[in-house]
Amino acid sequence: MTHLLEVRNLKTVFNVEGNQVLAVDGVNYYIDEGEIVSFVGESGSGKSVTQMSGLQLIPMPPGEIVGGEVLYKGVNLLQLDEEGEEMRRIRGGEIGFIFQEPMTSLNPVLTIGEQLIETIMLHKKVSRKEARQQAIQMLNKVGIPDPEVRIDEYPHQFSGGMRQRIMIAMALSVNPKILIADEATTALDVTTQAQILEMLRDVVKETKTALIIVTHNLGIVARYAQRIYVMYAGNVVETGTTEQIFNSPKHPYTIGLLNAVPRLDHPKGEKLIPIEGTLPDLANKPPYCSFLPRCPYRTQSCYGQPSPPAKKVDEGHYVACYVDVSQAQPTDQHNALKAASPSSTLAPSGDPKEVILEVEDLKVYFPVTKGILKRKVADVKAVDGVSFQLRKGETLGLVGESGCGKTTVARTIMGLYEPTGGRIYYQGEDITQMPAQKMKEVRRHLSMIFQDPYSSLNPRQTAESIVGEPLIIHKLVKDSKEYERRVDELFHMVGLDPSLKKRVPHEFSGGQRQRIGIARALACEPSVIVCDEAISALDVSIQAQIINLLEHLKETYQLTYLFIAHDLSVVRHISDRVAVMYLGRIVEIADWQSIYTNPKHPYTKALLNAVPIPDPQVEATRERILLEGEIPSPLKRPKGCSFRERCPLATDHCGQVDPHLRPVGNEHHVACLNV
Amino acid sequence: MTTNTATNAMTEVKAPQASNELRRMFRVLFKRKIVVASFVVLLLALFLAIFADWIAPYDPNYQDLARGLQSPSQEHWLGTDELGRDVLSRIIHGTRISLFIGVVSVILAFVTGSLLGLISGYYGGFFDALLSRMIDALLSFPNIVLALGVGAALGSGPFTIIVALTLAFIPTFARVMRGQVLSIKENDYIKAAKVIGASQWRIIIKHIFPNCVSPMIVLITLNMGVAILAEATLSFLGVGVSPDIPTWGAMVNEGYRFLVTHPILSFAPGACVLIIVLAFNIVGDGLRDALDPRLRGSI
Amino acid sequence: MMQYIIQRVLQTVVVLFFLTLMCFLLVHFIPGDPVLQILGEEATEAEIQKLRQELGLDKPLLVQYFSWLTDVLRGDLGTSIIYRESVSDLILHRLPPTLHIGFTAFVISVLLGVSFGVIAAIRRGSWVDGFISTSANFGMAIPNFWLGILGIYFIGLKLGWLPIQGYVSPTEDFWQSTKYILMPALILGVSSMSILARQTRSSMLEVIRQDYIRTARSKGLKRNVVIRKHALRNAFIPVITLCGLMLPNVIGGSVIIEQVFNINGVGRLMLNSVLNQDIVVVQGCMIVIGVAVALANLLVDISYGYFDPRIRYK
Repeated sequence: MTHLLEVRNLKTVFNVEGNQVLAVDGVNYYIDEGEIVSFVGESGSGKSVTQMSGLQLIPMPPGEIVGGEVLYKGVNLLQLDEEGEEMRRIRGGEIGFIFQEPMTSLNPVLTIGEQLIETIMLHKKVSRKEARQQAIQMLNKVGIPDPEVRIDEYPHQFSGGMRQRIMIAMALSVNPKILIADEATTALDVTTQAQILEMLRDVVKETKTALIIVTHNLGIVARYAQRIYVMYAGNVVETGTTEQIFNSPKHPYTIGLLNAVPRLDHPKGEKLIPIEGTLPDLANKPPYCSFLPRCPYRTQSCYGQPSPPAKKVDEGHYVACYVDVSQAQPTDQHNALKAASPSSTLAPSGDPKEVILEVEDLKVYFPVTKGILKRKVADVKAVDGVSFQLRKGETLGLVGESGCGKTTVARTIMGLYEPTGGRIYYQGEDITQMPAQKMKEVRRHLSMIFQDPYSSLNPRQTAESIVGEPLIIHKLVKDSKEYERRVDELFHMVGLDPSLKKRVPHEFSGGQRQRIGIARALACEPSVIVCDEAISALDVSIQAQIINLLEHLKETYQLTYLFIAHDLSVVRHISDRVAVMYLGRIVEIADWQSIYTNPKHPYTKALLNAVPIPDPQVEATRERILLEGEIPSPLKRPKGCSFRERCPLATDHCGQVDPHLRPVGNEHHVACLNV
Repeated sequence: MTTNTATNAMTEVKAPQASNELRRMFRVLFKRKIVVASFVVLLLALFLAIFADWIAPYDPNYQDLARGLQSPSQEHWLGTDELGRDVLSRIIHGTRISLFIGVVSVILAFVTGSLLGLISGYYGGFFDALLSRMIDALLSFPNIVLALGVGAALGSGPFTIIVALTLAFIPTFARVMRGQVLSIKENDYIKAAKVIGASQWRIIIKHIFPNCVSPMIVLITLNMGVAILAEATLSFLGVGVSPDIPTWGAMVNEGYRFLVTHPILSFAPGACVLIIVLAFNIVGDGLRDALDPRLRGSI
Repeated sequence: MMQYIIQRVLQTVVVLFFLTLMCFLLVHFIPGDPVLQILGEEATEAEIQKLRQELGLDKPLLVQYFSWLTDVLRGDLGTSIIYRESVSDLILHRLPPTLHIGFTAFVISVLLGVSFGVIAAIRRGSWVDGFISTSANFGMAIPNFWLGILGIYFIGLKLGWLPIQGYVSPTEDFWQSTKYILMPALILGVSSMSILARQTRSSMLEVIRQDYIRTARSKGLKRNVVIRKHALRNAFIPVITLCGLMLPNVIGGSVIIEQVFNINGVGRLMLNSVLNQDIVVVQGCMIVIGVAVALANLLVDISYGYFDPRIRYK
């Protein structure tokens, strides 16, 4: 039987500075009509390049497809001229593509209508008028309000989520047979992601389009895919139906991935099992299995054999591994970690009632100026009356979607922004009014870990200088000997080899860089660390390493964390208490059990519901509550409750009264009038 | 490392990193033969400028009216001018003033311009707005017009040319530096430095400035070519350094009168300007690609 | 958009203030007494007084500036020391050849430079690209006075194709006039053309790397539609600004070209005045040139705003 699309032994390389980087290394896959197939893998796995190679969309040079076949309805696409008639008919006409970055994937100087109409006219051979009608219908279908009017607007006039809808409309407007969504929702917030994926699934079902979802998010895969390809270092390491992969994973990497992500439905104390090590250098791939150096199931014989071929383990279930994981035992270290659970996260160390940091009615406004005289016309109320207490030894999770003000809270605490109003107390002392000299002293005890491991380290400093700088600024070391000793100690603390300390940041991997950032934060022996999305830029296997490190450090050095993140599963895993923010305010705050098992605020409920769970059985039983609309602008906060327009519980009363946090249980506060 | 204080330790750390970076940079830089050739040309020019007195076959100012306007020969490879001076010797000596003016004015402009750009970019506000408009005003004058204006006010001479060219180049340095600072300021490592309590000076000197160096090196190299071109132009127009010092621009002008009969008097010194400016441009482009390919197009 | 325009206009006003201030202060930079400098040591007291008053040097600096500025705004740029003529008249009289050649050079350099840049980018890595990039490198490095001399020698003297010296007004004899300006205009445009070609090329290559170009290709659009409709429009946005920046380049070059080709334009007037120490004329020329460039840049910025919808619909 022939498949709609079948790819055999695809190989793609990138020629970078004289090195050949093997991005796709002999990949086989197929997709049938109307199927939803997913490619899962971390960055560098080659999952996106695989898709783009088939349509000859990778930049050539430096990219080069060096081998294989891409058979679409029996025609080998790689034989077609890259810019020829036939190739272009299939690319776009038969196979549509949605890219990751909605902000940059639409042409900024053309109206969205023009970009849609041009596609429709190209592949459907209809008049311009007809194409415009179809474009409007399509925009309507993907949920763009007022499509008749908005069709003549430019991309910058839409939000990220809206732009991704437009991309989908564009790709689907010509009824393609296959739609490839390459990390299409990664850049979006979790509620928007849910809206878009649901919409996407409904549309492809209706049009019988086959859908390829390329993602690193196992939850999405579990919810939407029928079959899965797991990729690692340019190879497909395992493939099977969603049930097969999630219920009986056979490749050590798949097993590792599933164990590395915290899950909303798992018991809390569970320690994550990270995949140790990092991705191999794709320019110098070893002759044996590329996962081998990180594999807990590796045997001596693996070293002697070439990269393993796919072998059948069940109907439609193939795995590229010599070891039978159901027979073999993972290495000791792996076991030890498993045995170590449950971890210490349950019991906050120290006196649970002692408040170390308190934020009281914090307001941070950014003025919007207009005209030449820079007259202030409005305020962006990024943070608009936030209060919470951070108790010694606990981890307080601060969650919310982009634009909710959580990062602004963090930065204001750290003194990077001036508060417009309110107070911040550190051990009872107001630090917003403190003289500079004293502030420097207090600052020693407050420390911060940043999101982006690339932009948070000065590329011109050595790792040693980065980690040691706080020691010098606060004069914490007497001489160079003590300095050296302290720096080495800090390296050890975060699990880095001090012999690497003369290297500059770009010589480290993303996970290692984040460890350097953590070492810098620890240098002054702080008591409170603000983690601002500290793990969200990392791959899942690395995320687990860093989460474990943070937990370990907290335990060892009695730290207190303010943990800011948008990933609710991670927050649940690490936090003792959780605060949910929406549009500059906390809408719900409680201990983690109450938030996750008994959420009161409709927004918290929707947020939790939008998080996909990496388990197809669980996903099948969950019902989606989709939020309507988008977060309002902090420039024009709606009167009354700001969530009112999207809220299923909203009444007229909500439009008049501004809800304040009120107690609904033991230490559980909610800002809603109707619960 | 055997330094006594921790502060010293901080500065010493740089050495291995710098050598690594430099090695990589030179490897990329010298991968293209044309860049190597241009580099050799520049070294040669520097050599000629320093040892002109020994290399030049004749005294560049020795006049022998009886032997004026000779064609190239065994004795005078490029012939003589109307006063009987050896053209080759004058060209060799001309290297001196060309390089001197180019290097000095660009370095002066770099120091002033990048300092202004650094301050204006880092602090922003009123000073920034004011400086930006002043730079716009300065950029409204073409380099040559600005130099002529300064020349009219200060009279001719090497000092005038240096002042004029420095003034002309300050805006570019200030602008590029300001842009760099603005983009670097947005990086999290600047926030990290603030969080660990680093002073403003420390942030500027240790975290911002080192990250602005690459584009500045490129700009310095490219502007040296522009400066040499401008100096030659001013000398050609007769508002250059001084009639006593042989300069390429002035030689082109003197030879122009004898174009019909002795074109080489104009052609040869002009070709020298072309070669040296070309060499600076090629090395500058090469440096840009080697230091940071992302800079392509931004300078 | 309106706000953007108003903002640009006000910025230009500030720029013009600094610009005129610089020109005004020029006279005061002259070391020693400018009056003595101009008149020489043997000047009589009466002559000195007269000139001093003429230049307004007897009043406080700020007063001098504003009274001078009022005159300038009325179109009075002072009186030439050498020619004893109104500077405005002098400049106005010499303006036509400069405008004629400069405008031609500017148009040629923008049209050819941008086209060459686009071609080089599209055929990246081919011999066409190599040829254009190398030529542009030469074009930027070549001294235009020397290129002018080469042109005169080979095209004028050896081949006899074009006249080599002087200028004829197009109102007099259009064909003859075109022959006269062709070589000066081309040579004047060479460096701007080269810079534009290089920058357009790199701007194009930058745009071609963008995500939206990949989107356009993924839709199955023809290569030249992708380039014409999606890439060019984006690549031109920074090039528009650059075209504005080429204006001073062309004007500065005209000083040299007019000298080489013996054309009585503003550039030559300025150069002669520098050599004659006629500071008032130099000052006048600088104001006219500076103001022209500043206003042209204003126009360029406004059109830039028009071409970029991110500014137009803000």
